[in-house]
Amino acid sequence: MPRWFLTPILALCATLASAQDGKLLYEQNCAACHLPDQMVVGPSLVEITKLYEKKPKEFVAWAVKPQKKRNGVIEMPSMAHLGEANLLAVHEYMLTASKGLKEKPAVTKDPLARPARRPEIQRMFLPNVGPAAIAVALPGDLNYCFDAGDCRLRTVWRGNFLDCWAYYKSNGKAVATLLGQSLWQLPPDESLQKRVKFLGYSVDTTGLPTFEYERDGGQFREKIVAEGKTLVRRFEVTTAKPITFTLDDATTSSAGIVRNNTLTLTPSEAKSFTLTLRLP
Amino acid sequence: MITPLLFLAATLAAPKPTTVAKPSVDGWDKAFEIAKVEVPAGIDDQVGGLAFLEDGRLAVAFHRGEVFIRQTNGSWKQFAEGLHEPLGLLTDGKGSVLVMQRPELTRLVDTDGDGKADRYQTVYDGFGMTGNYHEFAFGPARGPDGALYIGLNLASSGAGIFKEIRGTWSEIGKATRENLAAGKTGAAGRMYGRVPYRGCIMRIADNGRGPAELYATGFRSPDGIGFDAKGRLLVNDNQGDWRGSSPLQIVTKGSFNGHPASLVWAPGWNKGDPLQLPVPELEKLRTQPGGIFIQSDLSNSPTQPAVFPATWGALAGQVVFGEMNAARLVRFVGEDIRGVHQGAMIPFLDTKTLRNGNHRLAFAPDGALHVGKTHLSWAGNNGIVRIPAPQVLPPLIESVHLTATGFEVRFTAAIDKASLAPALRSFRYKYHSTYGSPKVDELPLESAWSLSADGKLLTLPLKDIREGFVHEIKVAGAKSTDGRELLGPVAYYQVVKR
Ligand code: HEC
Repeated sequence: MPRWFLTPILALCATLASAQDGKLLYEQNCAACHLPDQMVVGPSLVEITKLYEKKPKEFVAWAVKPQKKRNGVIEMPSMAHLGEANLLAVHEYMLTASKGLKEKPAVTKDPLARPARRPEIQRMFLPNVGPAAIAVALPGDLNYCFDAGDCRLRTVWRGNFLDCWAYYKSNGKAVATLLGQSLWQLPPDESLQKRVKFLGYSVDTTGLPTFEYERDGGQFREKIVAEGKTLVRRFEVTTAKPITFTLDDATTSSAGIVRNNTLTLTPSEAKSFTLTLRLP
Repeated sequence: MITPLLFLAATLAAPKPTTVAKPSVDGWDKAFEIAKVEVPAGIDDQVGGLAFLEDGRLAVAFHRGEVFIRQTNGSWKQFAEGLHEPLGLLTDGKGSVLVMQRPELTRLVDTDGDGKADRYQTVYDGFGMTGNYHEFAFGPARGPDGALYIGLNLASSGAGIFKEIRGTWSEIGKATRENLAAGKTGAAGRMYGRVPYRGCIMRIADNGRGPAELYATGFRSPDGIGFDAKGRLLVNDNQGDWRGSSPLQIVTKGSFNGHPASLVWAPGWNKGDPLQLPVPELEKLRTQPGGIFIQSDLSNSPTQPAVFPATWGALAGQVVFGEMNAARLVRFVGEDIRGVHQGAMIPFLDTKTLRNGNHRLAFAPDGALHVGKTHLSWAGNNGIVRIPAPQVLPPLIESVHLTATGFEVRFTAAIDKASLAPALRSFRYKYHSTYGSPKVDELPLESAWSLSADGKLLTLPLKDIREGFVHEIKVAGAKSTDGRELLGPVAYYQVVKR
């Protein structure tokens, strides 16, 4: 039941008495989201007229308490503060304003779509990783995600980088699509967050990033490059204690000792080493 | 559903709506020149951040993560790219710019002097993220203390959260993490902040090089954050739950600014789920807004504050805010009354020519106001407009001052007494979890007003000045003695203390 149902009748009469011009009310309160002949934030007046031409009561009820109806649109804010009489005036205006107009098609594809510049770095919401993700397109056809939340390489895929249109056209209520074929992925491990601190990245003259972070007190620099069907992760670590990595079957190290999938490097080995990830 | 009685009343009272005086378009357009600024080609020109660098060049952060700098010859050069929804940009000395993006506050540094940032240094990312779209991050603003201040949005029940999040989950709250990750947001509250510091203002000392601390709680969507000419931290918020109409908060350390969700992050919080606290208790805790952006009449989504420079004459030192929803800006003229900063909101550049989506504001070295626009799929627009400081100000309400006996309204030009017909009333908004609020407890006000001999000072003696109420002062139809229309002929003064 709408809120104003409970409002004292007196207050309501005050609103009713000041019913204003429908056009002005539309311009002030609705036009930002409703255009006459095209869906922008909300449906067009053409569509609204189709739905509510003979239904002023239902129109007012919607405006007072809008519902979630369409996919991929924001929630319409309640217009209860305008009062019933004003909303009826808007209803009347909306019908006139859409007369004789035809619906124009809405934009459905990214008008700025382009192939990835390689290398290219884009921070974005990505699937199956944490929310502070960084996507990188490498020269060639490989792409990866470095997660700034746990400071790990998380995803590798081959193909045309990203489609971010679902995100860009809205306000972030969407995750980008990885284009191409997924090759490798690490599951989440939120416990790592307490052991790391992301410091940022530098970009070399070719555009490749080197990530900088702290892990277990050590200072890490990590640069990831593509070499044929492998990703080579070049590390430079300054640490007082030995460092460890959990290795998966596809990864080999240029230094250190591996026992039960745990790679251990002494501080001097950690100064410069690589992890090589074989990809299908 | 509409009850028969109400529907009947509606048909009786308003078969043909009466017309109201329309705001004049021509007046503003005659007095101010609003021109488009060319933006870089081939980009989505929704503006997240905009500032003039120390050398006078304009730097702009755009929706898809680029930062461009306009060179002295007018061409644009890309400075950075790949950022995640930058929503604020601040100068930082030669070759360096600070940008607030969704996941972190970042310092972009051009170390080799080629005009492109080559270091993206994380200044502060110690706040949580759930992946909820509404967790925008705003700022930074630099305080007189040299610290940086940022604002962190709450999540919206319009969507759930990611399976994997950043930051430690707070167990305080009805909705479970599992349900939210499955998109079931029913129990969450309209807006929720279950990872650290959502809904808070954070302070990072020493221009971002020092430690970060929680500075204030109580926000929902603090898009506009900045300092006034006297170094007060001004932060506005968007109408919604616990926000009857968008407030302007004058933020002090440790203050709670009204939206309860973030109280879980207040140091030493021990009262459980703040959304379950009785309203009177929250009312006692909260700092009252020093000004209110009147929904519909002034602003539905206020944005960045900027301080008028000396080139704007009588307005110098006053604050101007952007507004997303309407083709309008809003001025705030504040004053200290018994230790509380409060004041009047006044419409500015209220003309269709401006268009809506007014998001980021900055004054150029020559005084021209630049407004960057965005929409993010809500009501809004895109691009940048430029409004030079006028040679002479048109007739405007210059200031409103609360006295022991009423109000004094000062004009920028002599007003013709015959054109004055002040209409006054006071009202307030409800403080409650419901989205928005009607104007309530409305009281029409009578005043035996007088105009000074020079026509510039309107004195409004009033018997009923109420604390906690907006006092609307309307002088529609007023004209200067030389026949020009008074532009923006209304002021809304929020009396916190009288
Ligand atoms: C901030 C944006 C915004 C504003 C302002 C706004 N609307 Fe909407 N409106 C929407 C959106 C978005 C939808 C679609 C919601 C959905 O389908 O989930 C919508 C849908 C509607 C519908 C269609 C309902 C249906 O059954 O499909 C009507 C009618 C409507 N709005 C009327 C109004 C009126 C009247 C006003 C002004 C008094 C207004 N709106 C202002 C965003 C807005």
